[in-house]
Amino acid sequence: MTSRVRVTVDRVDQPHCGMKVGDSFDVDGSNLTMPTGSSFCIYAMAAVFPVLAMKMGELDPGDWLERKPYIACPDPTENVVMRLERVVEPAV
Amino acid sequence: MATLTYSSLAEFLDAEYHPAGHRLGILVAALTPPPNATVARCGAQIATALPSGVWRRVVEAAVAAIEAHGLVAARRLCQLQSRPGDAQVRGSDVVDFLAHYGHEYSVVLTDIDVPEALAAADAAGCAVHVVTGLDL
Repeated sequence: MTSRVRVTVDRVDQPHCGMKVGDSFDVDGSNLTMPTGSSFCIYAMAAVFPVLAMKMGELDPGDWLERKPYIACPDPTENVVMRLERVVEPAV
Repeated sequence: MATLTYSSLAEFLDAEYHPAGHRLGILVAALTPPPNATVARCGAQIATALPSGVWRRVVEAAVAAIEAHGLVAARRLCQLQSRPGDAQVRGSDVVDFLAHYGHEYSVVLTDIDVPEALAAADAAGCAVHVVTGLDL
């Protein structure tokens, strides 16, 4: 069984790409949705994509992605940190 | 806050560092500026920063404590770094780190005497020692 996963910006130090805390996108299977009119940095997205399939599946509670569901954008000055969580409410 | 001697640091780690479950780490969060930093760049906070040699000894003690438990220091010791362009670690970054990852650390060694940081360590269940000096 797979779940829809929401990726939400948890922290931004120096946003050069317009990102702000609370920005988000959802991934359900192979479909990505975003709130109408919003944008999201593709490089930040690229940092998250490798683990999305893991998060959509069922994980042991001790799995690192359950214990520390945070992924950082590779730009160290921006320090965009994103939180991954499974969601059950309707897609954004 | 007491001035730590090397032996008292070792005793503190013996008493407080009991890695178990996922709580395996030691966090070292020091204000210590990088080698090329100047007093002017560091501002008033440099008065509270300890010499880098002190922190080298603190890190050595932390590594020894981790390895004494059969763990790998490269995985279990976190030395919090300042933000790019900053000379020193910010207290708010210590708070943020502990809020996100503190549940995986059992000991915090710091000279950042910021009440919020100490409270965050306490809230995360970490034993914290503020290092004010090291009598070697």
